[in-house]
Amino acid sequence: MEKEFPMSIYLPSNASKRRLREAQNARNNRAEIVKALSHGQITRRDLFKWGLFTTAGLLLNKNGLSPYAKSAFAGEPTGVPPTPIDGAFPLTQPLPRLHLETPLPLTKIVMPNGEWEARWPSGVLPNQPLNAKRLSWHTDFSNHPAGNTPANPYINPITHRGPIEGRPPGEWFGHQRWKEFFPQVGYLMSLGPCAPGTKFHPAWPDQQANRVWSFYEGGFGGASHLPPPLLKGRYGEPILMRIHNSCPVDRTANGGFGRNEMSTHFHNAHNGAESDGASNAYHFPGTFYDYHWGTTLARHDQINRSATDRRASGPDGRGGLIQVPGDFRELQGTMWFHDHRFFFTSENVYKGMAAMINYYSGPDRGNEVLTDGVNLRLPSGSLLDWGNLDFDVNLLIADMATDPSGQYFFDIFTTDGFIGDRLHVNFAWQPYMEVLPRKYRFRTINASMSRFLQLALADQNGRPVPFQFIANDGNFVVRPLLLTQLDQQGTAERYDIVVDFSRFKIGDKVTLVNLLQQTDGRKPDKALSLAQALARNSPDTAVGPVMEFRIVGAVESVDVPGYIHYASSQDLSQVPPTLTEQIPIVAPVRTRHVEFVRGGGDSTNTPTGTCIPECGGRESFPWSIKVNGESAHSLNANRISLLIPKPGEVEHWTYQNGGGGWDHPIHLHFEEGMTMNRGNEPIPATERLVRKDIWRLRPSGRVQFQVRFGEYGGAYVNHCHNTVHEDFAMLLRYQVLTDRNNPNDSDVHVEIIPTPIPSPDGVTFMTPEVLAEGNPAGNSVSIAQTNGGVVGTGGTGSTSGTTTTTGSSGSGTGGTTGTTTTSSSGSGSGRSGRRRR
Amino acid sequence: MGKTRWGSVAVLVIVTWALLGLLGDTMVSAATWGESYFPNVPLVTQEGETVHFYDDLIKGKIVLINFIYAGCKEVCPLVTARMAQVQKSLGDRVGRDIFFYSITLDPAHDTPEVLKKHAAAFHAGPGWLFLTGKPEDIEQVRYKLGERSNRLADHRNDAMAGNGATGDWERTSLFQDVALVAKVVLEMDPQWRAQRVRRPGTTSTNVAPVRSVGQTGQALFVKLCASCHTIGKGDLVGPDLQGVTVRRERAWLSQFMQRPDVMRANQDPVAVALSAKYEGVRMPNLGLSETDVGDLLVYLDRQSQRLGVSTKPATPPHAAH
Repeated sequence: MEKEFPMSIYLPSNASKRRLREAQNARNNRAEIVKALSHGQITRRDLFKWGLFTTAGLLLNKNGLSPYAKSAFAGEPTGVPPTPIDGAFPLTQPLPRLHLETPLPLTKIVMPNGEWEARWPSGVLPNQPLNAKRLSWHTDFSNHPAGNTPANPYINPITHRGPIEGRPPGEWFGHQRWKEFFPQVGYLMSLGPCAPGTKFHPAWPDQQANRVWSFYEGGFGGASHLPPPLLKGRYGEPILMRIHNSCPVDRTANGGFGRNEMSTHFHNAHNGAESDGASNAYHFPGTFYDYHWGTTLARHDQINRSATDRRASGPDGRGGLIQVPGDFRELQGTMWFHDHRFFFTSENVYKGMAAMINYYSGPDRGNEVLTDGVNLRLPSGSLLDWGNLDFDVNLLIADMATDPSGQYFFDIFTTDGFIGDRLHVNFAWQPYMEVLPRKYRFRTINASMSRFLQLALADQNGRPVPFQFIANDGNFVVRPLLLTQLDQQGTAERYDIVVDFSRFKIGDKVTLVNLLQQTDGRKPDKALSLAQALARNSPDTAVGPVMEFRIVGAVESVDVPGYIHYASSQDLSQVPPTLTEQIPIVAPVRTRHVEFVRGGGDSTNTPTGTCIPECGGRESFPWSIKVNGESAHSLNANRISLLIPKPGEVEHWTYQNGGGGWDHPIHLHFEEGMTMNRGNEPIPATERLVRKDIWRLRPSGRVQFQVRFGEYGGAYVNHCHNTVHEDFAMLLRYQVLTDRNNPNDSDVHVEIIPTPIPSPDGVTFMTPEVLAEGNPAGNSVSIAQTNGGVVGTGGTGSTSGTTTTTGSSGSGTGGTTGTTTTSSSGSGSGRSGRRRR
Repeated sequence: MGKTRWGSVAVLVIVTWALLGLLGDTMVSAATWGESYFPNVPLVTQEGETVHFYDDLIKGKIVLINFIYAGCKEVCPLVTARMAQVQKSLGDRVGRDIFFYSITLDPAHDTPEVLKKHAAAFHAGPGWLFLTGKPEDIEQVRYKLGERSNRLADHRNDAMAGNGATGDWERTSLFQDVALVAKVVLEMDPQWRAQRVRRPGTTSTNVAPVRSVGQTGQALFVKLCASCHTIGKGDLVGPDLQGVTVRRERAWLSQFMQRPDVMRANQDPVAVALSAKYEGVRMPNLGLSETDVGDLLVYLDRQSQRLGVSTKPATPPHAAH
C-alpha cells in the first residue's frame, strides 16, 4: 500500500486504521446500495448516472464503495485527504436557494450643518443603530476629546478600543455623491461564525462555528447561515449596506484559516472607491463599515443625462419605471460581493464571505409577463412586480474540501492555487432542484478560489441539452447564443443562461455537468467529453455531475410562499432575439498594456545548476506593466500603477499573460471592458464585443478591451481573481481622478488620496507612490498629503497643506519632465466649507 | 524518504485531526499548523550548526521566512536586502523572540560557508539564520511553507510571517513598505496586538510612513536600490552611489543597470571587479527598462549634485570603482 502515498503531505503510507475505516465504510455503502436496489428505492440507471455502475452492470471499484478499491489520497489535488462523503449519496439533497434578504426603509434626516443622514427604522436592533452618514463615524471618534478610551461614545463596543466604524475618517473616505444617490433602503448585516447545524449535506457533520464565517441579518453577536444571501437591487433605489464584523476578536480563533479583518467588495458595481472594498480599508471585529451602493448607471454624466431613455431605468414596484441618467447598454444584472482583505481574500471568500446581488432594471425586470416595450420578459415569474425568482435561479458554484473529520479545510500555504475535491452549489454538495417543464434562467457564478469550470447540460441518456446564453459577467449579449456547453468559467465569471425544460416530460432528469478537469491551481488540465465527464472518468472528483434538475408537475413559489405553480400553466416568458444594443469600438484616447508575469519561459536553471552563471530562465516580479510602450514593474497596494487622469476618455487596454504555463482570470474593478480581441487567438462568441469585468487570459494569451471611467474616483485595483494568486500580490492599484469642473463629481478625488493603514485603534494614512509609467505622459497629478500618519488629533484630518506634483517620465532617453512642487490646501476639514456633498 | 518518519508523522496527524474534533475550534489553527504540520527535519545554519526545523526554529517563535539562493542573479538579492531593512527596523527583538530564516533552494551549492558569506554581504544581524540542508529535507520544508514552484526561477519572492505558538501565518510582500512588513511581523505577537494606543486615530505602531516620493526616479530608487545602496552615506550591501554618474560612463551605467548578469558573463572588467569587491552578493538584473535607467540616473545626478559632487562626464571610462 505504501506506493499510494508518496506525494501525500498528510497521510502517508501506513494509515492502516483509516484504511480499515474506509474499507468498512465502503462495505456499508455497498451494502446500502445493494439493499436500496433490491427494494426498488433506486434503479440501476440511477447508479449508472451517479457513475457508480459500469456498463457491464458491476458496481465500480471506487474508493468508498469497494472494500478493495485503493485509497486516492495521493492524487487529491488539494494535497489533503479526500473530503469524506460519510455515506451521503450525491444528488439527494434539494438545492437551497440563496437566502433572500429584505431591505429596510431609510429615513432622510437633514442635520443642522446641512449634511443628510439616513435613519434606520426603530426596533430592528435592541439599540437604535447609528445613522448612516457621509463621513465615517471614525471621524467623530477621532475628534472626540476622550480619545481612545472607553469614555469615547464612538468607541468599538466589543473591544472598547478604536472607532466603531472601520471606514477611514475624513473626506478621503466620505461617500461620493451622497445626496445625489442618497440611500433609500439599507441592510444591517454581519459577518461572523456560523450557527449550529451549518453543513454542506444533511449526512455530513455540523461545521464548527469558526470553520465558516458568513453573513447574517443584524448586529454583533449573532450567528451566520448557509446558504449565503441574495440581495435584489434596482436602479434608482440607492442602497446603504452596513456590515458588522462579528468575528472573534482573537484572530487565531479562526478554525484553521481566514482572517477576522474584512473588506467587502461589491464586484464591479459602479460605486465610489470608498465603497469598492478594495482600497486597503479593512475593518476589525466590533466595527461596522457603511458601504454606499448607489445603483448609479454608468455614463451617468455623459449619456442620457436628462434620463429620457426609458430603457435606462429601474422598476418602480407599481408596474412603472424610475428613469435614471446613464447608458442603458451598461446596465448590470448578475453580480456578487465578497471579502477583499489583501493577502487573505482567498481564505475569507472560501470561508463564506461571499453573496450574490441581482440588479434589476427596466429591460431586466425579473417579471416575465409585464409588457411595456422595455421589459424583455426573461424567465423569472410574475407574482411580484419585479425581481421574481421562481424561474430565475442563482447558482453559486465552488469547490471545497474538508479534513478527515468533515470540517471545512483550506491550505493556507498554497501559492499556486487551492483546488478542492468537491463542488457545491449554494454551499450544498451536489444538490437537485425540482423544475417545471418550462423556461428557467440560471445565473451561474464560479465562486471557487482557483478552480476553473466548464459547464454543460445532459439529459438522462447522456445527450447534450441546448440552452441560450444571455449574459456574461452580468452584461447582456446583444443576441442570445444557442449553446450546448459553456466556455470555461474562471473564478468570479458569471454566465446567465436560459434552459427550456418544456421538451422534457415529468419524471425526466437533466444534469448540470462539469467537464473541466483541474488538478493544479495554475491552470485546468483539460476538458472531458460529456460522456467521459458523466462517467467521471477523471482523477478529479469535481468532474461530473454538479447538480440535477428533476422535471416535476408542480413547485411551490419562492416569491409568494404557499402559491403553487403547475406544469399546466402557460409559460409567458421570452428570450427576445435582441437583448441590448452594441456599444461601438472607437479610436481610443490612449492605450495601455498590462502584462502579468508569473512563471517564465523554459529554463535549465535548476537547483543543481547546469548553466550557472548565465541561464535562460529569468526571475521576474510577479507582474509588470507597460503603458504606451514604456515599461516598468513591481507591485504594491500603496503604489499607483495606472492613473486615469479624467473621466470619460476611451482607453484600449491589453492584458497579457506573460507566464507560459499558468492561466489567470484578471478582474478590473469598477468598470467593465468590451472585449475586442484575444490577439491572434480565436475569441468565442460569448466574449466577442461583449462587456466583461473579468477575463481568463489563457496560458500565454492576451485580451484587448475598450473601457472608460466615470462618475466616481479614488483607488481601485485590477488583479488576478484566482484569489490565491491575488494574495500573492498579482494586484495593481489604479487611481481614477474626478473632473474638477463637474459639479456633481467629488472634489476630493481630483487628486490622489493616501492609502489607509487600518489598525484596531484606528486608521492612519500612508502617502502612495505614483509609478511614473502608470501616469500618461505629460499629465501632472497631485497627491493629498498626510501628516505623520496621524489623523484626527484635534480636527478632522490633520493634514498638512502641501501637495506634491509628479510628472511622468518622458522618452526612454533618460530625459524627464520636470518635477515641481506646488502648494495647495490639504485634504482635511479646512476645505470642508466647499465640499460637495 | 524513510517510511518510519512518514509513519510517525501520519500517526501524529491522525491524532491531531481526532483531537481537533474534540477540542472545538478555538485552537484549530495552533493545532493544524503546528507540530503535526511542520517537518522536524535537520537543517544547517550558516555557522554550521545543525537545527531541527520545528523544534528549534518554529516552536513558540515569531518568524519571518523567505527563500533564496546565493547564485540568484535577479530578484532574490533585492528580497534579501529588504529583509535586512526589516530586521533593522525591528531592532533587537530579532534574535530575542522574533527570528528570520532565509532558506536556500539550492542546497547543493549553498553550503554553510557560502551562506555565511552571503549573510555577511547583507549585514545580517543575530537572529537571522541562513539555512541549508539535505535536498530532500529542504524539499519538505519548502513545500510545507507553500514554496511549491516547479522551477527555481519561479520560486516565491514573498515571505511568510508566522507565530509557531498560535498557528497564525500570513504571507507578506517584501516589496511593500518596510515599515508595513515590520508591522505584519510585530502583529504576530498577541501581546503586541493587545497594546492600546491612547491617541485617537493612531496605530499602535511607531513606524513612520514613507516620505512623499516626488522626484523623478526617487520612487524607483527607494523601491529597487535603497536596500543595497546609499547616496553619500557609505557602502551598504553594494557601493555608495554618490558621484557614480561622474565615475562611470553613462553608456556603461545604463548597460550595467539593465543587464549586470550579461556584463559579468562577458567578463567586463569593472563588473568582475565589483563582484570581487562585494563578495557574496551580486548586482541583480532587476528588469529595468531604458526609461527606468534614465529616471534613476537623473535622480543619482541630482542627489550627487545636492551633495556637491561635480556631474561632468567621466573620462576616461572605468577609471575607478
